[in-house]
Amino acid sequence: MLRVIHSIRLATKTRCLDFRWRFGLIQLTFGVLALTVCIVAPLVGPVPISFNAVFNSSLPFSDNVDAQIFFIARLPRVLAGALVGGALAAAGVVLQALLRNPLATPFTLGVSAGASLGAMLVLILGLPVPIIGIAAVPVASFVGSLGAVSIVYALARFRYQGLSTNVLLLAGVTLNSIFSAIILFVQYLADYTQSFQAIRWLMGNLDVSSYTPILYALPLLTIAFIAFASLPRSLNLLTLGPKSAAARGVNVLQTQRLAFFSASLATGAAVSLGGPIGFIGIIIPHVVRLLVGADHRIVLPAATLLGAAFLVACDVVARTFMSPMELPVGIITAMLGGPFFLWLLTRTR
Amino acid sequence: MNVSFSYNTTQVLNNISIAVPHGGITGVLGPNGSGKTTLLNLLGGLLKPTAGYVRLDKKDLSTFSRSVLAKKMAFVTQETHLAFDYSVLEIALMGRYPHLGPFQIEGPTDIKIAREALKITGTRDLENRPFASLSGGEKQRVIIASALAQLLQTSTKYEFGITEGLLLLDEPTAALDLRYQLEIAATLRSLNKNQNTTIVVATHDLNLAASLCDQLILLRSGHVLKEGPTLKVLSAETVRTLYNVEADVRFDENSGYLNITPISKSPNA
Repeated sequence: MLRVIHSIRLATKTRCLDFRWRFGLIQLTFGVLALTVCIVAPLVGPVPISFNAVFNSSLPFSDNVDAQIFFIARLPRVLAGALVGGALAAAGVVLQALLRNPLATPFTLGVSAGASLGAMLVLILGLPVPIIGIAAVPVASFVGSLGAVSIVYALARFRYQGLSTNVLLLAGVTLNSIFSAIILFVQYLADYTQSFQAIRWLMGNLDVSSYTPILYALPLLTIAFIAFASLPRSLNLLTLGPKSAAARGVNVLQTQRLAFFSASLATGAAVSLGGPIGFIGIIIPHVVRLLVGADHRIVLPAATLLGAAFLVACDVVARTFMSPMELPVGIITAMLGGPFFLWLLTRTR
Repeated sequence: MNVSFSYNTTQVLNNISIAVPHGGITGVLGPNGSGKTTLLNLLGGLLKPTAGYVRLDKKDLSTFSRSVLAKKMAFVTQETHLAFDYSVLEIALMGRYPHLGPFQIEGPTDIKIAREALKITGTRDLENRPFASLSGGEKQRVIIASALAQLLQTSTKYEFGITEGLLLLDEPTAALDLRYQLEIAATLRSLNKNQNTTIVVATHDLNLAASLCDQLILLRSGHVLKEGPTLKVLSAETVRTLYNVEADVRFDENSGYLNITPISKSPNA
């Protein structure tokens, strides 16, 4: 297996030196993977359905049980998984580049703590009424994530002219600690039902009941990804250090700000959609870099695609592992986290 | 091409006025904390002076856009720690980014130039090696190659040459052993001679400065102590004033450069 990875890596890095060919080949491979997973995933589940039956146009929709299961029960979940997985993986890549640390995750800078607190407050203080037609929990969690991001940014800029990555990291850790404490406290105040709901939300779950939450998350994610598209070259240069990057023409402060806010936006939207699903944002960037090298222009799109495929696949496992019970996908990703870090440990010299 | 500046960054540098001659190797010498790095950063446009100006080609640095400046000047930091695993060629190619449009990819010319830069610094055969696996001297030479790639332009169809380029190096040999110090010095000398690169080196290594630079700027606590040709500026008195050290400064016929041998601390330090 390692030899396969090694030979893929050699082929993509050295022999096909032309960037456009490498880019096209890699994105095509990951794209086909993601597409296949997303098409096969809704077909898997406790009730077997077949592809032909789903797309049998001779049957009207209201009579086609297979199609109903596919489009109403399963496809939203798969789409949510693809969006959340892609967003978290991409945010992971960007934040690791920003903090110049391959161990950074989308949750390092406090976004998920803010989102969790927002969701907790709604679940436990009991305001599950829809606000302007959107369910309260996702809205509150997104607002919470915005709050956290603003606080972290303010803290990081408090004493320094630029955006020092060390200060940013410390501010994120500070926020995570403070918000975790508040979350603990709020959970203590809850009764059994609320507590149950809260804990379940914190596990990270893709059980979206309709396309609505997806449609609301989509514009946010689109904005984040448009920002992501402009970053890769600057992120490459930023790896050399802020001085070296500036000497090569990068507007370091602007790049850092754009990276910070777009990654936080993507993470906030992803967490409000699926809860704080962990480890995608650190496993996928690592694996992609191992396969295709460190050039962010290739890594960023590839990680997005692989993240989407990976999370949807994990969700399939979550749904079928203890069928007919549907486990929260966060449990599956968490179970993969430990072995991943162990493997990383064994690789480090 | 001429760089001149006069500025007043009150905390570190005080109202310095110097000129860097075109086509030469200038050394910025001084003890730790004298402001060498600040001076270099100001020269490279990485810092803005709190008062005064920094001019390149008689135009203030702030009038140049970032990418234009990056094509005229390249900066080599003392050490480079990479968070991710890039190959040597990728790092050399990063020097070409200022030459690319917003979403443009490096073309065959850029790859040729990057390879040429690697060849000039003697690192061409390390092309596909991951940067982290290189020795200290190799790493520094690759970084110099990357800086060089910023400056190289096609002058004729088959040859690459710098028509005007300024290379700034901040203590390039501080973390390197003797052999690599010699390698880097030789690389810089050949760059200056063959590619007509103007070089400014900040260093506290007196012998390196003596062997490499033809002009020196001596800094002490944010002021210019002396400025001028190496043979005139570097003497036992200036070493004493700068470092509070008694030293023997003499011309060595073997190497053809000044040799500075520290003897003892100055009595009234």
